[in-house]
Amino acid sequence: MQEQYDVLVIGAGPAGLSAASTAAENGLDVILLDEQDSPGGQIYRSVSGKKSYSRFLSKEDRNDGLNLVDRFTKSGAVYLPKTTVWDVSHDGVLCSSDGESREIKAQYIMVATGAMERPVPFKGWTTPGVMSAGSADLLYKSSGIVPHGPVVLAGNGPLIPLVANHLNELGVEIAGILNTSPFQNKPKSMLRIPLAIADIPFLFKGLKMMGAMFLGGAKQYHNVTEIEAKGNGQLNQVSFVHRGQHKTLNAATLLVHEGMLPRTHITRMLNLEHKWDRVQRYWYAKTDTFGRSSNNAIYVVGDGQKVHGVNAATAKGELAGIDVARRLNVLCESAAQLQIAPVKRRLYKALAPRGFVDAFFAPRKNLFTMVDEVVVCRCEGVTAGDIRQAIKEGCHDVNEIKLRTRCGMGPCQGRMCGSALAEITAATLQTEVPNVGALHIRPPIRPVTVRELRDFPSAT
Amino acid sequence: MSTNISTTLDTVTIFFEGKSLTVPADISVAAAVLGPGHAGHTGKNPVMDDNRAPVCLMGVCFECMMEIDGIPNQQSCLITVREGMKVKRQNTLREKY
Repeated sequence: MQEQYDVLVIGAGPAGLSAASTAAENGLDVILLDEQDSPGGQIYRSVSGKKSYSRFLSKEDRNDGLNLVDRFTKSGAVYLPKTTVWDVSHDGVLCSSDGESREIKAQYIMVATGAMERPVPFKGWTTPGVMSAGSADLLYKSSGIVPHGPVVLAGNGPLIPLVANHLNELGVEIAGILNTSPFQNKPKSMLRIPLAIADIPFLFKGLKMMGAMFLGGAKQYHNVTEIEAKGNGQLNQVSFVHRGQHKTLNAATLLVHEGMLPRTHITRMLNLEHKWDRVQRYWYAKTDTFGRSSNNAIYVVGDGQKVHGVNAATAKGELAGIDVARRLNVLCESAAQLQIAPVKRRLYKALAPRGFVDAFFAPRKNLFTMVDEVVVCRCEGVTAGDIRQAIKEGCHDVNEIKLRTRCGMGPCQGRMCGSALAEITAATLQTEVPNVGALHIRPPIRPVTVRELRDFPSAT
Repeated sequence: MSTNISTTLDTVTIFFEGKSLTVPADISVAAAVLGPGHAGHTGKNPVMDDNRAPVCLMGVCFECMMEIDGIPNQQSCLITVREGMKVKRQNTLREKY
């Protein structure tokens, strides 16, 4: 089998599918690697499956996803599903499919690994029954299974109304919606409205979503603090403070959501230049409009670069696909410009409302002021108190704290605790997150067996 | 061959903690044990020895790690069920030390 390609794309979501399709349509040899068993990423998870008709609640969403997959299938790009990438360099990757490892080389690599929900530690968040809000949608889209009710939703972000409405449509009992968004977000975000007017259907969709959540009838609690998941080995109650009063709701599932982050494990491992977003409080790989990163051979596209939503991700993927075709001389400059112009228009339209959305759903100031006994690193059982103690003892960089406490050294390799570790460290030292460093990410970025490390075919 | 059976039938039978469980053929192991299996939790944390269950269902949190067909540390949310698959809750602390 050919193991050298022009372009290697990691991730089969909207950005990765679009990038791979565009590059392949322009005549390049393209391979796309993805962890899942079918294309679509998280937003269009299992969209081409036999049962997706009944599992996608919106017909438009399903059609958009199917069109992306259809275009990709016809593009001629090679597709490698169920494949985990565990090392990336500027000219290739090491990956495993079904326990068999291999090396694949490429002239250009496109990282399209998408976004994840911001993990925010709180009391009891390791209790079974506590899940991220998005996971409820993923569970339904991929398997038709709904979470056990009664469900409590908590947090601040676009997924709260979305998931609440989906659960409502599916007949799942919602015991309450705990809104943690700060009141000051509203006036701040209103300043960004004028630009957002460029995409009125998008704003309308958002308003409709909020309206439906209100009409859904689930009790909403605003400005909620001190959320705690309770239960001995299994969630049975959620307690919180609302208007100065302690309240408790019975719940079998607690779905939490505090916004989205780009997944930066691969971009960090590659030592790309990263920037800090002060509104949404996350790190992202610096790129130009075409997704070119600080490394000449690496592109970063889609929500894995910056969280701008599905339409922007699709456009960003296409721009990268056109750009790489131009750089590899299969597309002349004038033909490239013809392809670029309409995609850029779509991208700018999709970006127009983001200033408003990002400010409206900005994470609250006290998001990481948890008490000392809260477990921050779920894998290694490291608490906020352990982190603060390490800082007191002189550790001022997150990597020093990691070595001292094992925070971020478990199987998830800091994916769940990395942002909390940085925020707690910055707050304790009364400084900003960019001043406390970022966790060093080293291969293998996924657990692999010794056999997988030993057996990958060496370049002979 | 078992592979033929699983592609032609809509359901497969897996064994969760030794008990047989008939589930849709196209779903992940995590979905199968959480939904039809009513598992509640998928394993214990080896450091804290407390019950854990999947958080993200997209390969990020590693809380869904289970023992599948004798191999531990498998991310059950990324693996599709197969006919005859043996799935166990992971408890590396108690078993290994």
